[in-house]
Amino acid sequence: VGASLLLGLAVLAVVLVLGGHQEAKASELGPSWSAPSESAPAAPTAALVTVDLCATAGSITMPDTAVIPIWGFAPGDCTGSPVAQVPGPIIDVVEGDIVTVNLYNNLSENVSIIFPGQSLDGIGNQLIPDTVGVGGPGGSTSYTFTASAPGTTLYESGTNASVQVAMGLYGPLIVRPTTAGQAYNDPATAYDSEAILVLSEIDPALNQGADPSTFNFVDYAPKYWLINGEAHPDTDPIPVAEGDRLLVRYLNAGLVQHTMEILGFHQTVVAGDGYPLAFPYDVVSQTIASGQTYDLIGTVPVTSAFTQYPLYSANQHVTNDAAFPGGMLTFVEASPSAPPPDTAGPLTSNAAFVPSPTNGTLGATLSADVDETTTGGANVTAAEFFVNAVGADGTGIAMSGAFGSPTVAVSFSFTAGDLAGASEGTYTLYVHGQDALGNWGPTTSAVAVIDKTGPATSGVSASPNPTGGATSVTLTGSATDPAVVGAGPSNVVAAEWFEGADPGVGSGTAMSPSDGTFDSPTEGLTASFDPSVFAPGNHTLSVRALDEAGNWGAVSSTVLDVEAADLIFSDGFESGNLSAWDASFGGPARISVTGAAALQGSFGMQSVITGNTPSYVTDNTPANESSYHARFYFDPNSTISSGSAHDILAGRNTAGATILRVQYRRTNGGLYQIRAGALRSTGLAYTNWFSVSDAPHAIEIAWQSATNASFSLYIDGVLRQTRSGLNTNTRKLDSVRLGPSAGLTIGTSGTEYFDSFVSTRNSYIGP
Amino acid sequence: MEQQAIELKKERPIRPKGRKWHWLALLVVLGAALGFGIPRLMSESASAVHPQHGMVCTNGPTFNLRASSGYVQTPDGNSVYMWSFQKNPGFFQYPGPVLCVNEGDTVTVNLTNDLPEPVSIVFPGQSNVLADGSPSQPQFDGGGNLTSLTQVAAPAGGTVSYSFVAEEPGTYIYESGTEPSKQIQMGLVGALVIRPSLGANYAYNDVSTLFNPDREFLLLFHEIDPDLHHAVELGQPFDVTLTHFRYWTVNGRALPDSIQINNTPWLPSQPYSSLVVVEPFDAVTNAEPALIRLANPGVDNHPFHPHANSIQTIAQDGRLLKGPGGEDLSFEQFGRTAAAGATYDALFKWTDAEGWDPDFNPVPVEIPGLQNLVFMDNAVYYSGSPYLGYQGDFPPGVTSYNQCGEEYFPWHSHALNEFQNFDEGFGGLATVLRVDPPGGCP
Repeated sequence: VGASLLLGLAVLAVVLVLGGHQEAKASELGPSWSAPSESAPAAPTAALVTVDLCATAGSITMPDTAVIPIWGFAPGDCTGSPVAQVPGPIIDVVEGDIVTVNLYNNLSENVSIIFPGQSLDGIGNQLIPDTVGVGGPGGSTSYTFTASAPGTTLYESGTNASVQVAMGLYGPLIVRPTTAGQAYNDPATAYDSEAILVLSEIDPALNQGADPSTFNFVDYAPKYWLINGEAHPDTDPIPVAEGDRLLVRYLNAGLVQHTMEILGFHQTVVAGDGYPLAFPYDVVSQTIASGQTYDLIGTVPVTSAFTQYPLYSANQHVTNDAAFPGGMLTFVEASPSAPPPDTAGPLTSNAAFVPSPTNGTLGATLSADVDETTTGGANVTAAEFFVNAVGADGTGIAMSGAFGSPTVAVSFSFTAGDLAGASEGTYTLYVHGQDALGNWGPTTSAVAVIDKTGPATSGVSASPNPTGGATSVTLTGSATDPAVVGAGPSNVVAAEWFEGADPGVGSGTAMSPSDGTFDSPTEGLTASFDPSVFAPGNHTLSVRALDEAGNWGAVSSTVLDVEAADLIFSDGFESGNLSAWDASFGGPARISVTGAAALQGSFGMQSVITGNTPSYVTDNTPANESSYHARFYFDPNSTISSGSAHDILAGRNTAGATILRVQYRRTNGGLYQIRAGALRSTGLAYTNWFSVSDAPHAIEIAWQSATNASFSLYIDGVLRQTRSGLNTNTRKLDSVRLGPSAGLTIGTSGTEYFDSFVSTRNSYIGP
Repeated sequence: MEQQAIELKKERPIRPKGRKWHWLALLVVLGAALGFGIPRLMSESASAVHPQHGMVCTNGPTFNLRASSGYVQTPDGNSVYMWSFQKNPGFFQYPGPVLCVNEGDTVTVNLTNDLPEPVSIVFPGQSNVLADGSPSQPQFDGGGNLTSLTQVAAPAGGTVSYSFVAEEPGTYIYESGTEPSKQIQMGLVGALVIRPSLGANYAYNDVSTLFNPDREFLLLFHEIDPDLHHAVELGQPFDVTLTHFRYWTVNGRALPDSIQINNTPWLPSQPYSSLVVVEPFDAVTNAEPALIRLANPGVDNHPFHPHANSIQTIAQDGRLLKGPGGEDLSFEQFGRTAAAGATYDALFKWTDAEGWDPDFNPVPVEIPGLQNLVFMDNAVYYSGSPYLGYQGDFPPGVTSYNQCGEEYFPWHSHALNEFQNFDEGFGGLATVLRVDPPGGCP
């Protein structure tokens, strides 16, 4: 911007003779003249506006440094150091204003001012335009008129006008409607940006002559082409926002017509010579004849980028003294539209209180996403939450997050302590965020369910009960979580049982949901176990459940009568060896598994007896049994015992004492005989001897430990004898030996066969 | 009202000048069925019925142009050095090709520059023009000095590609945006026609703009100061503020060359005719008007006047003259001033209003004597009869170029200094309206 622009900064003296507001603007033809008046008074009250103009000599400098003498209007009454400017100050008034222009002449020839387009209405007795003017220097005169209608007009010298106007004695007179932001009273003339462009041209030969009045206009050949008294590149750009409706007021103060165009968008001609058009029309180029004015409104395209639209002479008067670029050329400079003021706070979403429901013992986290991208794009700088009722912005509990970007994940961590005092119930937490401009956004809520009551357990039972020796007992029950006010019950998520004393919550044995999934507030519970882990007898089984809030409920119990398993041990030797047994005695030569010994199946155990050396296997499975059945197959296989008996089955207590036995003998008479005996408080009680054939036989005994016990012997499925009334109370059976183990004598010899041993606690086995 | 085809002859005595062969040629060419083998360039289209007359379209939407230099002829025998846009490949021509596209087309103009200085193209009236993919924007040198109104093609073979969407139908200008104060004068101008989606026989998307596609004419105005062109040719400085135009052209030709047919072979660099040929309006057989597209990429405003007629301007700068409520804002004028940088579209009907007839409706005044009707070299365009479609006898030695009793009306700049060639009239920014008898010449 050239220095000449500064000439325009001189303030137009305005004297308000009457009226409450300043009607005339001291507008300078500088960078700001294109801004629309934002405070144009709306009051229709006519104001008296007085403007002082001083016609004086000066100079302007062209971009090529040519100094051009001018005559121009300076603001003021010629006192001080008036600075002539081209064009003269903008007389900027409002429709209805009564305008008085005081002309002070600092030149040495008469000067006047005419106002083409304004009616001299007799105010100040003026009815005829003044073309005589007032002499100078030192003379002054005055003009008064009513700015009766909005419009774009010129004021200019009316004396020796061809010379004086060419020398620069002209300026714009803008009459605005009472409605701000419009060129005329028609709302269709509303605009966002405004440019007042006074067009003229200079032939330096005129201006630089010793006496401009002697210039011969036949020789008028302009070298400089001016917009608002300046030539490119000194012309001021026209700043607009993209999308603006740009009002361009063209005023041709030159001696030749000018055709102007804007490259890049059409304009609509809305008025000519200050008269609005009933039917505006669109143009690229607009010719403004000498003395004419045109008002054009164009919409600046939206490009979202800084864009320059050349505004220039379609006559290609774009040179300064013939050198391109220059002349009537400037740019409409569109900046991307300023974003609307950001008055919206960020949006909050995905608010969540986790875990919920909770009993609070593990703490909890409130989280949310705060997003400003669609509400202005500023950074999110804070977030807060309220419990149950939204309070004033900024008074909530602050949340944390990586603030400083338009999208922030925020959170608040509740400790167990924070929640310890919270009574059971439902709480609504309202979260919102704040952007960098201080706007708090709308809240989004999350629900926190505090549940401090665990599920109630009921209907606990075990089956079978008593166990009857079953190897599996199923424990069942039902757990139901009580409702939390406002939220309903929580889901049951786990259950456990324990026997006897409470091992503490979580230390029991897990139970399963009977429907396969823990997913509801009421769950059937089930667990199966081998009751043999418990000693026979009554056991209290307790069940409790856990809800998702973390609460274990109270226990509910049942009593299980545990009965030991019936089967104690069995082995048919079909494995071909003695590995099922806990021990064997006598060595392989004496005791072994052979096919020859098979009394059932393919294998049996044989004991080779030579003299008094035992040969037997031991089963330690019995554990202080109080009731015992044992059955095995026995074939004497002609074993000779010389009349003495030896034990082929011996039951022992933990001390190793034999407390029951089955004996075999071969009498000297050749009879093969079997008997059984039980140790009682007063000694052994035997059955009678029963003779059997020298062949396989199923031998079975039934024994009890009791104060009044019975003891029976079965052979081949036939009860041969029961001894009753025995006091075996102190005897408990803890191991069993099968095979010749005691009572052997020197005379005993042969090979005994054993097979298919079975022992039970309660049941008769049978052959 | 003057309805006589003889007005031109009455305006001033005709002084014989050189190059009368042009006029003879006109006679020959207008002679029925004597058409030369007119060289036609690819991708051109003119009226199918009258390819010798009317606008010659170079069809898009992609155009390859070359900024080049050449010479044009003026009717007074001068030869002027010019810069212009030509088709690439192709031959030098002035003005540039008429770029015809359809509304909605994405138009691409690829420019190659053969000239010794940067050249560019601006498209006044188009929005969001891209240059090599970027917004068309003013260019500045490192010192911040404007070098061009838009991106340029570098000298001696440089290229640049412009593109834009042809959003609004109408008649537009394209021209140099680089030192336009010189380059536009040098001839770097042309016209752009965007046809509406409504149809190629409409000027705009409005049924009121229906026209006869065989009667579509483009008249593009330009000015020539031969001193500038000579200085540029010699690489010498020239003060554009001292510009003094000596020639004015319509479609690159000055009258009477302007009325030669399209692609006439003796004007190899000036392919476009300006002769406007119509037949009388008839509500049944010739109801549709002619469309006259005026484009002025020159630097002066030109008042353009059809003798004895008026035209209906329906659009300006590519915008239909219609009010917001559909009001018809078109207007009829017998002088249409074409502003610098402006375009206008006008509909034109010639109506045989009086219906003069030698037997039933004779002209009730004395017919001017033949001595007032001579145009040049004892030759006339007059038919020998004032009645349309009639021909009369001539004295021995008088040559008439008239074919079938048609009538001729000058159509010229009424800035009369422009109605001449280097101060000799008639000539310059002018053409002729030819009205054929109903049905045309046999």
